[in-house]
Amino acid sequence: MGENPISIHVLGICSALAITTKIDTAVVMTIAVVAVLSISNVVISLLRNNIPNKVRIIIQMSVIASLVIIADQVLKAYMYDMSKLLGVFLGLIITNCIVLGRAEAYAMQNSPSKALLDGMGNGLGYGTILIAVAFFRELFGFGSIYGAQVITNQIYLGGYENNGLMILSPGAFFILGLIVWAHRAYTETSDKD
Amino acid sequence: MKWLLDYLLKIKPNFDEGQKLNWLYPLYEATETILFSTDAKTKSAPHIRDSIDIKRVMILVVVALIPCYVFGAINVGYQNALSFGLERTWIENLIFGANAIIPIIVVTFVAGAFWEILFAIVRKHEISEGFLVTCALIPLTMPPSIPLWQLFIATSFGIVIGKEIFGGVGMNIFNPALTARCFIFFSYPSKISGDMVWLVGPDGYSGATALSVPASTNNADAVYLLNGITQFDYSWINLASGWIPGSIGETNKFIIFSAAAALMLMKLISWRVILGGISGLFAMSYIGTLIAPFSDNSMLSIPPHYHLVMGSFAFGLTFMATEPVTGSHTDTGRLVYGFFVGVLTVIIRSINPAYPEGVMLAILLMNAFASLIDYFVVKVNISKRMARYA
Amino acid sequence: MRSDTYTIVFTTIVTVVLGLGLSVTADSLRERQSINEELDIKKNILSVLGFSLSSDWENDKIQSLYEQNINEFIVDKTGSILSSIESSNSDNYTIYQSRENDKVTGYAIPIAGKGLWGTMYGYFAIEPDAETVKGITFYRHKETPGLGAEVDKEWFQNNFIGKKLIDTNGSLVSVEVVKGYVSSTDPKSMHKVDGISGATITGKGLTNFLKNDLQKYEPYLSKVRKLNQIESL
Repeated sequence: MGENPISIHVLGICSALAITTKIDTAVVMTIAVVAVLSISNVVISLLRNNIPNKVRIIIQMSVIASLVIIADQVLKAYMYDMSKLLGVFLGLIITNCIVLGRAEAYAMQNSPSKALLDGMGNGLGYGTILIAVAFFRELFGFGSIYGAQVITNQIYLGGYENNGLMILSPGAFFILGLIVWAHRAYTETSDKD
Repeated sequence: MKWLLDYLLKIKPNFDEGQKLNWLYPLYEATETILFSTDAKTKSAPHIRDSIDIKRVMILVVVALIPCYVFGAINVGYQNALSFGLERTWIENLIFGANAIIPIIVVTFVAGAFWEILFAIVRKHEISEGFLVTCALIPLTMPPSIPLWQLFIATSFGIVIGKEIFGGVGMNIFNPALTARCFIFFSYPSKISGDMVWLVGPDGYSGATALSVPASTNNADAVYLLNGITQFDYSWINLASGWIPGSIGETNKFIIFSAAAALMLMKLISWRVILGGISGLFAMSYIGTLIAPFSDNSMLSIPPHYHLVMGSFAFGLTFMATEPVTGSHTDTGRLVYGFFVGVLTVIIRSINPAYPEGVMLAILLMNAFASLIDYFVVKVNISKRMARYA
Repeated sequence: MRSDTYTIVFTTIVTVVLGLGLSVTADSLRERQSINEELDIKKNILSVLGFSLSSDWENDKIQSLYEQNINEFIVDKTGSILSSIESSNSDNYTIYQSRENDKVTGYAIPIAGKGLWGTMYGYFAIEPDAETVKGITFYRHKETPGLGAEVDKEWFQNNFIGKKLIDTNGSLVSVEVVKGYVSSTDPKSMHKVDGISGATITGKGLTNFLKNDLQKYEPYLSKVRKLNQIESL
């Protein structure tokens, strides 16, 4: 967790805002990011000795973009409802700095097996935060966890209401901010010890 | 009182550095300085210019809010009586209203004090009285029918996200009381926003607020519409004297402007913000009335003097926009800052389809721009001087 | 430093390989994707017409239910049914007719129009008498959570069921979303539904585009009503 792309480097928060209103979309997004990140890392790492330095960023981008498009197409074919929910944000993995960042900073210098692990690690780290944010947004915004209603009708009748702010994008900012705050406060105190 | 001071001084060593109860020092300090005058010197602005210190400033602002509370309570009772069609004396209204308002005040202060003390203990600083003003303002911005648990969460949000996250009193960008209201506004819109009236009345009782009357009819003259409402009296004089449904403390404009005048005389709030705000409101709503004949938006036809007494503009301008920390800090900056609060209020009221009231959003938006305004004021000043001495 | 020729050749190869990969995937998945899109529309139509659907239904079950019960056809602005070949004209509108055991059980029409923050899309279903509301659904909108977004909720949609589109003279009045509650003493309460408190603009928008869309289908629907009258005589 010390190197978590979101909570330490604050990367890739655009998609973190958009697709974290419910856990299931966050989970699918995580899987897509892990897949794209691992495969792109492996491909770039395999090609690393052959890629001409002048055009390396363009080559990385084309590999990543192709993978994202494939992921998008597969989702449309096999999980249509989910792809409707994720909408444009799955395509926006292309602009997620984490993917290009790992390709440039790690896969260009390391062997495919290491690059694979790096890709999976970063993807999962990113996904953990997505799912954590989605957990709170879904719980307070819809009263459910992973689609299962946990806040019962009785509680609603007692005057409880779902929090509309959580469903709007600022809700993600606040949750994300609080998670980053808690994480940093924790790592800072543990560093001192 | 001597025995109390003696006692406090006697137990003081227990809270010193290295002692067992040291972590509770902020609590001790707060108790001592609220009860007795302190010998400590102010370390942060406002510095002592005369016999006033930050604690007295805060207390005076809270005192200025008391008339708003009293009128608010009477009005809550009056609106309730009206909705049930009852006849009651003002004393009975006051008692009814106090019963509705006191739980709101208690919950706000409990929530505020909880977070303030928690952060004071964790961060090992003294408890700041800033939260007293914040907590005194929050209930006044709430409708009397607000659920208490929502209020608790909103106050916590206002104190933690609005203030503590930036480092506490004096560091915050946004007004914490407005942050709290904003939270409820977006989180639980069915209890505060939209275009309903909020009062303690029978179930299912509904009606339109003064601002939502012209907002919901196209191609009409706003003043004509307002005077045609029979459920409530929305004439200018009644809008100004506050016998209308609304948030607890914002309805009576006479009380609010008297408080504003008193605070300005004591130099506790800046007259520049108030002047800027009112001119901005007048200027923009005058432009609105000029456009009105060419548009089907009835909100544009509200004349300036109606804008002044409708919604919470007066309250927001007097008690929220003038807050020294989150507003601009230069004199010219304050004029500009106030002016744009007024302008934005009218724009949000007239043109935004969803939120008939715009003061809260206008002030929060200008909070964000306050330091930018200061930056330009200082820049202009520097280049002027350069020109003068070059 | 490698030569420019190498760079160009390498880039070309990568581009061609990736391009090929993409077109192969896109092509092999296209059929499935278009089936999905169709199924999604069909699911919405089935649900507005009152066929109970659960999300775990198999795709081919939806397909077969749709084929058995829904009859799609196109009407023009005079209300006559066209053969599907002429369907490209914008003055022609699609109607989905549901049948069970050769009896018409309802009509569904697509509705769309401006709410507060953006366009709302949905379907509106009418009973076979062509004047009573059978249901309403929305599948896409951008309304405020807690306020306008309540159009998604059952309590709001159920209010529409049983309302009348036609007044006693037989002219179209549509259904109006009022502000607040419909009073039971209102003589026009058959044409009105309770609004969502705090979401006046969403309700107004819905009232407007619903009437607008129904107007387009009115020529056909009035024919249906006449036919019904003749049959009942």
